[in-house]
Amino acid sequence: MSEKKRKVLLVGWDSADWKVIHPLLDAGKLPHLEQLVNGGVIGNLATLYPVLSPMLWTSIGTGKRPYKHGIHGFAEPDPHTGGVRPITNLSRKTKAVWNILSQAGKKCVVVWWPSHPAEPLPDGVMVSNHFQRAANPDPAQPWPLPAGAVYPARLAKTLAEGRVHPHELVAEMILPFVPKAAEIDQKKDRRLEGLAKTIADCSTIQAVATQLIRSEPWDFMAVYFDAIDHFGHGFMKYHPPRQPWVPEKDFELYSGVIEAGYRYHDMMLGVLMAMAGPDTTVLLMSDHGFHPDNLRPSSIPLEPAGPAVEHRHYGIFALKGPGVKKDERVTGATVLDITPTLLALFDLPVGRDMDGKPLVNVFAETPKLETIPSWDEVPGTDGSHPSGAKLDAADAKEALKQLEALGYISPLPEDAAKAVGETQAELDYNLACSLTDTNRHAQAAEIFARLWAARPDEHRYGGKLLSCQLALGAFELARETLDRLRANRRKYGAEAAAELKRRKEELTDKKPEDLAPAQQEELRRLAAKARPATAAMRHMEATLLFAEGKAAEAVEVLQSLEKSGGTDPGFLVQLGQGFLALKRWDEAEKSFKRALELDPDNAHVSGLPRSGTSLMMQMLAAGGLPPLHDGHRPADTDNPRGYFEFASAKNIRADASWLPQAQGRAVKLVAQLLPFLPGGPAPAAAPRPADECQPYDYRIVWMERSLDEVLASQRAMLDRHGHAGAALAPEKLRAVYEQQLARVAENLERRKLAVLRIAHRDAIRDPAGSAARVAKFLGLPLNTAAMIAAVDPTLHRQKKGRPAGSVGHVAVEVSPAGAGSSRRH
Amino acid sequence: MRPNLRRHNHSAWLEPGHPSVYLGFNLHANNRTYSGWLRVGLTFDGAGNPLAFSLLAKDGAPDIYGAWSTGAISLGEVGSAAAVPEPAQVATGLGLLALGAVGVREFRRRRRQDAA
Repeated sequence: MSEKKRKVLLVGWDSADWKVIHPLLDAGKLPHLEQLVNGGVIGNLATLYPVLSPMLWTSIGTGKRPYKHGIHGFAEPDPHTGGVRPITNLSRKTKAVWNILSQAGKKCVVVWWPSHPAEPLPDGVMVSNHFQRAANPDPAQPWPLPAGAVYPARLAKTLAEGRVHPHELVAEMILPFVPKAAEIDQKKDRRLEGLAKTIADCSTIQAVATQLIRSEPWDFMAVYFDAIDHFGHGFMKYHPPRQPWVPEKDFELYSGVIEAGYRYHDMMLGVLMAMAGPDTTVLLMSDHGFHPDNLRPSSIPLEPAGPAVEHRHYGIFALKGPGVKKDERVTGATVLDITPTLLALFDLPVGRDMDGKPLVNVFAETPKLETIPSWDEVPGTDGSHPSGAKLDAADAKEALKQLEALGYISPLPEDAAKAVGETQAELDYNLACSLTDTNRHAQAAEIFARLWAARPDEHRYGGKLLSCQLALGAFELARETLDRLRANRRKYGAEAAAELKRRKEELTDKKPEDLAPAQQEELRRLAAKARPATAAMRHMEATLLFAEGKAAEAVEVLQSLEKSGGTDPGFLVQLGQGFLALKRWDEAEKSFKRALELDPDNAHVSGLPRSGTSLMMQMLAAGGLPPLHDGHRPADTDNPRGYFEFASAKNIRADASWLPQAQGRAVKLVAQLLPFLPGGPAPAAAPRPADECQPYDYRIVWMERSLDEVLASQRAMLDRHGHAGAALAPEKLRAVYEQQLARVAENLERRKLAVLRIAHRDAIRDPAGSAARVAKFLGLPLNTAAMIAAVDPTLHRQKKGRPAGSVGHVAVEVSPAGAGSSRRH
Repeated sequence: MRPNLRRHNHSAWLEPGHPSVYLGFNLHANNRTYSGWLRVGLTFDGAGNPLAFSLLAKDGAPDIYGAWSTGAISLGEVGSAAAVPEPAQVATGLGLLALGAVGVREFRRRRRQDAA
């Protein structure tokens, strides 16, 4: 990096979404963000799953996934009190970027989340997320600062004076959000009160940030605002256009809150940017987006963290500063990339144990990147908490109330032991969900199975277990799980219905508004549990049937659900895939098109053609390993030497009876079908009968190709054939492919199948080396000279890929035989 | 941010009998140019001495978002004719809160002043 003294201002806007921002930018309503957008690099920032903010913001701050950083939810057991407390940074198992920067001698000012208690950053400042919470609704009452909210303590008094209490706000601060606030009966409608609290909280954060930006020396400043997320969960449902289920009066009152929230944040951003100065690098980002359109859910699941269904996959990324490109877009960024990119901005090495990567494309000049094994192994004073740090339980309780009010955590039962048990279960559940996000389905399945055994009435545990088993290819177990899920739903549904009936009889003389919120909540939970959830169960049935290769039956079930699922893009994609499997092309196209119309950013794609598999088949054929192909697909300009496809292989999910024909031969398979090759050691979650084990010995040649090249090649092929192709952004296609391939790789590794990865580019550049590797791997006396001659470098037309070592993979070469001949066990 | 007022024009001089004028201007701030106009008013006593000075971005209610985003020009604010206003002195409502610590202090000062 060229700058010797770089200053970086990192601003986090929880839930900020380009889909809301772009129309406001176009209307000139976000002038400061526009400066950032026009003067720097912007892009989407892909989130992680589950989309829960404390996990995500810690991933942002560490560059690591939750199973590495240790923050798994909104609340945690308190080992010192035996109760439950809001999540703290005491659970974090790894250094955050501010620890690393502090250790490297940078002065850090951090206003982040979860950040309580404040960490003792050397020569730095930290203000925790407990700082701004007003515990008492009466502003006349004392508002003590929670212990540990500010480091160093010398700043506590000054900063505390800048806190804004919700009751301090005057009409002109509320009216931009709700112009007709005067029409609201606030005794019945508490939404305005919640709104005022959110405005006050973020104004407090702004007051702290502006105070510190002026009074404290800093090289790195991080400020986190959660208000846009709160505006979203409270008021996105009223954002224009009005949804059919939103009452007109509510729409009239609250339809302006979201826009006002963004405009207020833009004003605050403008102040921060102006105070930071033009030489400061500014990075604005969010952890995920928030559905502002037709994908807004009509209801929120009655489960902990249920509001997360409103979150969208992509957050925002905008970076501007010295040495950063101007007016450009970056693609393929994830929340995991923020910390590595910050380290690159400061010329510091990236930990190889980090899951993210520096976004090198944002730099005007490619920086010199260095890595180290792990920053956690680098000794020094980094400002982390000493082990055994303690938190005040009373303060923790107040903060928990806030999370309950937002719906992020369920109201905690009085019984502390039960509360601890439920909290720990929720943390485990989130961890398991996070593991599935990294294709660690076997580990996740163990956790879901344990949780479900303890709480068989928690059907979401069973549903997740079923998903893991499907991903693992353990279809028999999945069938058992589905049967058990059905039985449990019947049993606990009947119990809930009886209990609901009893409660209603008790409350027969009361109106709904007479009930306490807790009573209403309990009745809603019972009602939800009593519902048979037929559609959900049938959907699972269809998914399982499809996985079992019974596409016709799956489609039949899905079609019976069309009325209820017809507006769900995921459902329509699944239906389209069913039609595709049945070669009902027109119906498949119709379903896919409808899904794309509903959600252009998130449709699925399957398969990974154009990865160079045909080239390998040509080499193997030339070398003396006969290909198994049917010749149905003739050579053309896209593959002048032929495709070597075998139609039956594409149906391996339903029918693998053709495999004996493949003994001693090479078969071309798309990578996504590899998990359906029968045989291999059974996964932990899917024991197989002994007589089914390892029927064949496979040698898999996995062709790797830069995904950029694959996508460009697909595009070129579609253009030549006059097809429009997928209406998906390249970054989305890349993300989907990467996810699919990671899942396949996990399956192969677990089954301990022999795999040789050959880079398509290497096969072109160094056919001799590639041929030798393939021959050695297969253990066959192949004619390598003929293999080399089979490579025609002029076919490598799409040369726009990422640097070596990047992702592109694909396709396969199956030799159902050891040492060149099939070997039945 | 102190805006740089590089170019302006005006409709007339303020004087008794002609208590308001219009100023057109370009503001150059943060590498951007903001164009706009202000209605400037003076209130005079019976002897023709100015009593109060006012700036309005437009007739009617000021733009509640504009206090900072248009470069900290006073919107609907009444102040001293002699002073070049700082953002915290001229901003109102959300504009004041957006200024952060300085704005919160100014907001409370004004409330105390109003209460007194």
